[in-house]
Amino acid sequence: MTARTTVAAATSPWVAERVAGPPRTVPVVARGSHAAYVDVGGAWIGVLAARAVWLPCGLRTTRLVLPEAGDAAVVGGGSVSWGRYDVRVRRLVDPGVPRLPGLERSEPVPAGAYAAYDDSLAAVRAELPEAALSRLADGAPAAVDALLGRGGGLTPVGDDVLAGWLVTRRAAGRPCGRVADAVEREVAAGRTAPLSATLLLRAAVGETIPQLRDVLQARHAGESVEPAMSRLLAVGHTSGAGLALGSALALDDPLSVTFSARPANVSVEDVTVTRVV
Amino acid sequence: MAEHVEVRRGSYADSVTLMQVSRDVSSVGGVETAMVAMATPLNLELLEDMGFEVPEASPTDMVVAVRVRDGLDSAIGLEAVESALAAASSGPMVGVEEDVAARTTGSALRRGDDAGLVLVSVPGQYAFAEAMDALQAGRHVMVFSDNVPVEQEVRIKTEADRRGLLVMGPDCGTAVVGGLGLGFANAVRPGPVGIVAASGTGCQQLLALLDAAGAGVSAALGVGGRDLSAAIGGLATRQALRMLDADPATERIVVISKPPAPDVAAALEDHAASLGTPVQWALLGPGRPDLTVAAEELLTTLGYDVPTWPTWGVPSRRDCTSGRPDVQSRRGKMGLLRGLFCGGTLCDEAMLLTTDELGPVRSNIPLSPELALDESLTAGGHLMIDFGDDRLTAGRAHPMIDPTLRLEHLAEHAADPATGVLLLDVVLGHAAHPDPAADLAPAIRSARAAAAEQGRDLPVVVSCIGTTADPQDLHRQAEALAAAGAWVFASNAQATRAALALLTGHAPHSRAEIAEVADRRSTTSAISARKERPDVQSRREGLLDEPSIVAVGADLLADSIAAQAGRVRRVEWRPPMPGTGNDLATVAADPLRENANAEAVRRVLGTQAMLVDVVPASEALGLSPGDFLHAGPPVTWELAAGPLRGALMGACALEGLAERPEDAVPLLESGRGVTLDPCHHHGAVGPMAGVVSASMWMFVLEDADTGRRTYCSLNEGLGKVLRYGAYGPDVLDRLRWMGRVLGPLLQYAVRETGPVDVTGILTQMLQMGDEAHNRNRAGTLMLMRDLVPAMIASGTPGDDIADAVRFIGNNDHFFLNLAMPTCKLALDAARDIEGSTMVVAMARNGTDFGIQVAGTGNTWFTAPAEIPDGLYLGDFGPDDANPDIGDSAIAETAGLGGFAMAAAPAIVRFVGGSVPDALSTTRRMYEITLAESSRWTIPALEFRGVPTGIDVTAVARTGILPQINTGMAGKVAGTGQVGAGLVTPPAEVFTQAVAALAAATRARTVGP
Repeated sequence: MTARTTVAAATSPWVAERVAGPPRTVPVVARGSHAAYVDVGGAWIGVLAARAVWLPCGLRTTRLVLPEAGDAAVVGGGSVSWGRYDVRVRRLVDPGVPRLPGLERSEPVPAGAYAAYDDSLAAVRAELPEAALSRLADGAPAAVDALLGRGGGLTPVGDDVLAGWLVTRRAAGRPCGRVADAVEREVAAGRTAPLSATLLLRAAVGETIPQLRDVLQARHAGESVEPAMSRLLAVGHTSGAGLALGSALALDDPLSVTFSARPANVSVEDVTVTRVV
Repeated sequence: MAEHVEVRRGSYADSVTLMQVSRDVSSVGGVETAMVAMATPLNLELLEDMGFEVPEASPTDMVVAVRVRDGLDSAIGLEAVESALAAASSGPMVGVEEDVAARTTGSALRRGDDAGLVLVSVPGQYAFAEAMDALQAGRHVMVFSDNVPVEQEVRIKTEADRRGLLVMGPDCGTAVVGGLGLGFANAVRPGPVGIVAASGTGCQQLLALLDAAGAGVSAALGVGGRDLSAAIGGLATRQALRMLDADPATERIVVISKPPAPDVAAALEDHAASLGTPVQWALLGPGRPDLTVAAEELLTTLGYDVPTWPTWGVPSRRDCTSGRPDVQSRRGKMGLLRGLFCGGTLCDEAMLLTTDELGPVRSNIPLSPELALDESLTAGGHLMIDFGDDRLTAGRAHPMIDPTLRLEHLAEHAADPATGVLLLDVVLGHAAHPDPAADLAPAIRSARAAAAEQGRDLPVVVSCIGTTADPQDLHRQAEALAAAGAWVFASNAQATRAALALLTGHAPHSRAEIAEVADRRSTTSAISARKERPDVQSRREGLLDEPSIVAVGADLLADSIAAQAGRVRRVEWRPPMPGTGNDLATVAADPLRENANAEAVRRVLGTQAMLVDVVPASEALGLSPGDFLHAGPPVTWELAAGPLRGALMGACALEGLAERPEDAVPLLESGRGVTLDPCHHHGAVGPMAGVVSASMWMFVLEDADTGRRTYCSLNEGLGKVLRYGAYGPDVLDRLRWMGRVLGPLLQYAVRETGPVDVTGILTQMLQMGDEAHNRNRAGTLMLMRDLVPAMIASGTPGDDIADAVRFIGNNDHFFLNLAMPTCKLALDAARDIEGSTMVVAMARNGTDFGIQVAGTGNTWFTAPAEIPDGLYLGDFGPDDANPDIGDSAIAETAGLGGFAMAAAPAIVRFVGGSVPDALSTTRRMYEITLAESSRWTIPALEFRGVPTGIDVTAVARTGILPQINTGMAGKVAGTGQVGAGLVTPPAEVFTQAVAALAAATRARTVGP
């Protein structure tokens, strides 16, 4: 019998619960050298290599490259196993952003003073209906319908914006329940990609990636957000920018808007912009 | 019985690893006993006690002693040692892509590291230097090491306070940051409680209970056992409170400790009252609530339900509420309580509860001195032993790792009919034994069975401190112990009360009773009122967010971090040179040192040397015939080696003081009319014998900014030359020609061309495969390029010019005599900077090797020079070689020569070794230098600057000696060069230098 190799992992109590209990076989739903995902009762749980973004639904390891996963894995007793590898929960961490009273009083990220920020956010805004963003800024649940599932990939950019908004509103202590409820309903109805669904539900309870948390911590402490914001914007293709946009909307940041690339067949309603230019 | 004792010089492994190796080897079939340990005085004593012959060895050597059974070959033991050592070898070192591991904390942190915390677990007397490295680099520190002198603790914490950093420790065995358990700690869920703990196992009890209640911890910061004493004044506690208060995720802080010194307590309470986060004081002492009560209060104020604390197993036979247990000795007295503990605070807690109920308890950590146990650890009456106490862990691993001693006592007490109840703690978590129940359960079973055979029921009560996420899994361990017949509790206080109840027949207090009693007691768990959060925004300190760790010391701690998916890099630490420990700590504590060294480096790197003139030594240095300078530290004719004597003899003839060189001997012996002084004392340097006399022409190097000057003679060429001690007629003829033709021609050329930027030529040389000590070819050619045009236009007869150009062109070492004074010019800029530990000169006179240090003035630290190791010319061999000689080591002192070997891999053809050796030599030198040159860079190392500024404290700490490339002179005067090779200074010069620096520091810091 080949010896088994234990790979230590750090994760949140929520993920630890998902991988506790009696061993059962689950499908591997996505795999790469830096991350592999298993479907545990509808939730996507990730096994992450050292340089993968630390998603709140993931088991973080210090391995540079993950062992190759097959089609199925065994989950239970605090571990996720495939082949001769057991990825075992050895440390509990909190991916949640705590209540940050300083957010309310914080300086907005200045529009126009930070080119990379403006460009990234503009790119994201171009993909999403302006009206929906405006509704989200107002905290209207209708924004969810317009944004959820919008954009492609494992985590559609509309979902990222919603997630960034939820985490930030919660940390700032501002009401977000109606939007959160709408998100839960629509997610339950299968309206978006499953990984994104998992992440949105975690966002509703304040859990997010460290890069967004760092931006919020910097704002709360009254420090310059530029270093943390660069790191956030560098996450994924547009995920980081999506989170940043959602976060800015949650705090009523004035955002510069460029209209030069707007499509011609835009409805009157969509053009109504209540955000400051 | 076959015995084998051997000493492995320079081998090192930490004590915990070696104890494991010793145990593994001892358990191999055929091996009677074995000990593998560092040869500290204590270990050598133990070796002697074991009946081995004690070898000559120092604490930096490893001693291997094996005894095998009669008739067997000791080789089986040695094989076992090899495989055990190999198996114990640690994980990847810092900088895994390089072949030279970091040897000090300072070096590790300089490697562009983002580590948020340094974990120090080297032996206590060496911890200070590592901790200061960390603080100097702006990182928090955890000092797991104990036996750190209190003055050093004060110094580290004062320094940390100044920089806004946290020192956890010394003697801090437990911390949790970012969920990462450091030292002996538990896997606990994240939550709103911040713990500040002066006690390890006390902290662990609280972690376990909070986790069991679903509450969780934002961080647990240890402050070391002494922090709250009057001597330290709670410096670390204050910092920890500040950090936790600033953390938005921490809603409540609890401080666990014995009661602090009264002044300290008052000051801290004031400080706590000024914070925005409520602080609860869980101070364990007579008349105060136990830790479980403290946990319950904490939970209640946070709004959590207080659970029923888990228990496992059935109380032994007798229900303790139904009357007197029959657990009595034959004499009809109440049985005795025997507590066998790993955790000091758990033992304290148990003793306090027991004292209240049953009266005094004897112990090795008694509540008052008259209750102390003697070395036998036995007494009539109730007793409790802390097996983790220092006196019981000398030469033995901590009981949380190695249960052997405690299990022996368990068996003894079990067999004693007077024992009424056995009370134990089992502490789980990272770094602890991977399966304590595996050893303890059978021992409990045997103990109870042995008692049963004597007709006694022996209850065994165990507190099992841990969490479900711990590697050992709390439930599995507790169930295994319960299955063996123990009554197991998650709460140590409850376990103690249960044990007391079994003895006395009284029911353990109900929770209500406990609470009532707690209320009646002093208000140590006072909760400071919540205040309005100040306007200043708070900020979660990076330390609390899962920092990456640099670990120096016991591998076990670094292993435990890696096993929790934490990022950890290891320092490949070794004990410092013998005898330097205290002095190193003194120098590390010197408040001047950091800035002094920075200034020294700045001056050295900022010096630009220009060749401005070439003049006779009589003019440049005021030498008269009969005045001679030589290489190296001061020496007399009597003590001078062959090459130096030969050179002096030749120089006497050159100056007309003797007809022939041989005739000069009586003159030199008598010393009449002759002066002998180091070149260094006159702003000069000389290669090999380095003899300078009045008529020799000297290069003049000048520092453009300050006008300071240094000097060096002209290089005669290779083979039989004066500097190698040859003094034949052709040597003297050549010297006269150099004085008559070459010197004046060079003078003209330099004055005509204008100052030559020698520092700049050195920069280019390194890009062209020269290292400026043994390879100077490119430098020589570049010099020629600069000066030949003016030489040609000088009006000197063409033949003379041709001779001169040919002479220079044939001598690949010509440029050496410019490289050397350039290096001296830069290093002299750093002389006399008080508090600096940088070497400003390394020089050899053929007998002794001497160094001078920036912070110790003109003092030479000397010891006999070594013979270089390398390749020999022709038929020469090691017997022909003279010890190391020359001022040319000034090149290495400035970062060239051996330090820049990576720029000149071809050198290995002359000095021996391989090309990878050349690269790793330079890399190794980074471990002992203060900085990297901004100007002199090495292409093969991605243009990294050469290692500059040898730090004597780094040499002493790492044992890495500066590597010098050098020519070898024949020891018989007149032989000439016999080869080239590698050599290091004798280690003692650095030991002396460190001692002198320490004395200077003490003299400076003591005083009015």
